[in-house]
Amino acid sequence: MKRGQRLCYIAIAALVGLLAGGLFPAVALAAEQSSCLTCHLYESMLVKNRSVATPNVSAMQSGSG
Amino acid sequence: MAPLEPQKKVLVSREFLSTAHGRNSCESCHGGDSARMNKAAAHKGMDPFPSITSPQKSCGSCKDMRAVKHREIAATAKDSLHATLSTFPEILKSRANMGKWKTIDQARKNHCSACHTSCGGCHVSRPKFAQKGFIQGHMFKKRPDSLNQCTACHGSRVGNEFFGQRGRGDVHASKGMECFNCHKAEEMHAAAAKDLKGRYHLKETVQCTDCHKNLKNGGVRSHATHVGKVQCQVCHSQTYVNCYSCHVGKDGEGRAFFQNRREVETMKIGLNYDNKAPGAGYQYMLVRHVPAYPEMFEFYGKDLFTNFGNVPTWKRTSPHNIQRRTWQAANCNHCHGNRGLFLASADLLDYEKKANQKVIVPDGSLPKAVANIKKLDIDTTRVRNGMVVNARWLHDNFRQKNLVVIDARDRSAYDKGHIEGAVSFDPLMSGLRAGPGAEKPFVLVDHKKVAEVLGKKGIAATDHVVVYDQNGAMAAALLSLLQWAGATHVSYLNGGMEGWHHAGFHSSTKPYTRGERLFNGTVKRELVADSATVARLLKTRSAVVIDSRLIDRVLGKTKHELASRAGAIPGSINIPFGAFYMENGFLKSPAELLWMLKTYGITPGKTVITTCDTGLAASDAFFILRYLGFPDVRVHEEAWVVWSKTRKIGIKRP
Repeated sequence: MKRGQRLCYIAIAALVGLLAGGLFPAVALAAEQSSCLTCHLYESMLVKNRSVATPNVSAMQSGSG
Repeated sequence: MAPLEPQKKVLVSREFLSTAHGRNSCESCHGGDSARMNKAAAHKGMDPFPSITSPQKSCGSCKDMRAVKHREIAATAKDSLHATLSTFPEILKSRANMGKWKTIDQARKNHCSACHTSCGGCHVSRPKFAQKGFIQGHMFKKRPDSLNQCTACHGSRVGNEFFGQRGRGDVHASKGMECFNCHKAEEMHAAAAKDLKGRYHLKETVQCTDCHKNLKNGGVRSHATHVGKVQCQVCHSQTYVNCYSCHVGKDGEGRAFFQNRREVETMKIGLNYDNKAPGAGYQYMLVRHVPAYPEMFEFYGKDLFTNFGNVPTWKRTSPHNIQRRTWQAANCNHCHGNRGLFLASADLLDYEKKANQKVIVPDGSLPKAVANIKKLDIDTTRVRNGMVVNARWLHDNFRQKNLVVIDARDRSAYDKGHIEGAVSFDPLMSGLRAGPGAEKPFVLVDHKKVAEVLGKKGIAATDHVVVYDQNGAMAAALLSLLQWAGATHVSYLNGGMEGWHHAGFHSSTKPYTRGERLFNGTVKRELVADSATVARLLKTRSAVVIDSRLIDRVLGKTKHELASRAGAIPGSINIPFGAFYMENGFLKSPAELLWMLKTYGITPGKTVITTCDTGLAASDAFFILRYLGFPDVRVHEEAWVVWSKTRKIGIKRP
């Protein structure tokens, strides 16, 4: 194997290693890093972004079992 | 149970993020696009209830090796009764005019299928029927929360019975047991066969005898003679609610509803028409009237249930208000020979006569009265009978001089219809108690102020004041207050507004007021006890304290929003409000009430103090004890809300 070719393989392996090392925590902490939590962890954000919801249960409804 | 505020329903806790489920991406269960930073784009394609949509594709498809059980559970739970409510269409079909099944099924889907739930509704959030919302910040709970999940749906019957809203509550609840202690995962996750005749036919259904084994050969004589012949609940349940005439419709906003026209608390024993159900080989069982009736889907069409008589409307029931000692089992002849306790033809309405032929107990099948049985030693001679009047008495004596009739319901209920000539007087809105922001919330204001309020309503201390409401809670609280203020002749209208209507009397929407008078009563301070007195009497064991709150409060599982902590006064005896007043404000007989109190060791010879959270339910219990002839009864006005703030003693029970 030529020296240049070997260097190229080493560089690719290093790059793959770096990428894997960088991605692993991203996968492990996926929920924590999700943009969903930008709102869903904070009551004030949910208040700010909530839409007007009409109650889906009629006031005329009897209780259930 | 009050619905959560919208933002609290979907607020995720940080604690969740460190759990096994929290380490997955939100998208992996819910879809949507978590890379987008605006709400609409992020929520596009998002499924808030993935396990309802498909238990197998959500919980059951987890690739995590630790979730292998999830796959097994999801495979059966997708067909469980909670998920499918499969017995509903089966029973509807058996009554249906099948030529109109499409119409019936449409009504079923609109009005009867909202109750179903799936994995998330038991393990993460409140079910849809209970208006949703995370139980604990999206934490997954292995066992469902009895208060926020199980009884959020199974509330008006099971929940109310279990925690003491109706009757004394359930002994299992008092011992701190939760729903899952009896209704285990095997039952909840079991797949129901498509042609399952009814929920009791599920072979995994819990039986009392799963825990209470070898009863027939145990030490209880009645078990030796009754086990196998009589369903356990016949002897061990209290009265329960029976529903009549469910009808469906849509309200002004187009929202579907179902509504019962009448609910009655009673108890009936029927013949077992369905002894093929597992563990149901007995001859007698408790039966509950179900709300089905031929016109229940009339909103959608006529003549839908032409085969209504095919299925009983009095059906096997297992009330969740079990007690070791009950009135019907307190004496052989409370049951044997008691025609009124057994379902008879006379109990049936015209539309259900055919349906219940196999359930009614003919005279020949009635257990015969037992000879030489000593009656219970209950002394009813001290009962102050004049403190309770019935609708007929009120109707016949309406023109009596100095008779004042008070409607203690809220104003909107009064405006919809009240007894003609009754004055509206909502004790909660009349300035009779301190406000929630006071140093001692909800305690009675001073006597002068109370007398002024009563006078303005046209009440004098020497009047005969009759008070009614819907369920006893407000009426009895007002009557107790009137007694404290010095009124000399007060009465409770048995059955309240429901009792009035049931007796066939009309109501009016015309408001009525009385001219202002001088109340002029002498305060009876001996009818109220402060916390220091309660503590002193308890310490010297000179009084019995009845805590009339619901069981979950007394156990410390919930607390009043103004209480500093959850718990109960040490040494107090929990007898919930529902033990004193039946559904719609009817009272049980004095003999039964006195017997019930005696089972707790509470007899008229003792000083009794009643307590609760705010003094209201305590006043209700106080009124009943006064009616029963107890000479020394006092209301602990400061109650738990004040006690928990000002006194260190008070325990949080398990």
